[in-house]
Amino acid sequence: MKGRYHIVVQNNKLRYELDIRRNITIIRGDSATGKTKLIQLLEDGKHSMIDKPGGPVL
Amino acid sequence: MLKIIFGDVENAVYHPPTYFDNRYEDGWITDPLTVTMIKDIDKSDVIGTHLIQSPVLGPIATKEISGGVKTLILMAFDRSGKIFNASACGDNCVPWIVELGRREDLTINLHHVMDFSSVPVFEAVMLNTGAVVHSYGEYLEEALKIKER
Repeated sequence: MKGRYHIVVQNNKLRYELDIRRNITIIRGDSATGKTKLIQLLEDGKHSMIDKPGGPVL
Repeated sequence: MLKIIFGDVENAVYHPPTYFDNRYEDGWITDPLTVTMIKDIDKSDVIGTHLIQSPVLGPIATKEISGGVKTLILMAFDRSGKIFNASACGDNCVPWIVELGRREDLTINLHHVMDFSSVPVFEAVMLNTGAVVHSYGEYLEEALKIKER
């Protein structure tokens, strides 16, 4: 992967902003800090871009 | 007594949150121990068996609590004999793992050298080597010798 990508994903309650620089990024941290929620939003956002608009915004 | 085993183990549950979603019992959720753990780890309040109030997400279903606290609840209440992968827990769960190990015999599985430094003095049996450790320093020294970690 080349370059750095600034990613913003949000819904009406949450907003995540992060920069990624590699094709594999490991997200780690304490429990209940939103790691799984970020992945869920990314998954929902992927689907909303493809066929079901109205989900999280990427 | 807390017992720790590193690496792949028979009868271990590698991803406790999925096991929890399919096996938890309603009565566990309103137990005072669970209520306290959810408050401490998730900063959330148990309203009832099926409803948790999160300061970030608002009202959520029980299955939406964090993976770490799901794992702690299993460690506290599951009586199937399964060994749960504590690597599914963040370091903020460590005080609870130690506390649960003090209350009853608890065997946990690890796939990384978990940071127990928040509890400097605790007792655990390192099942890979048989050593009994009494502090974070001793745990670390013993864990680094284990190739399965």
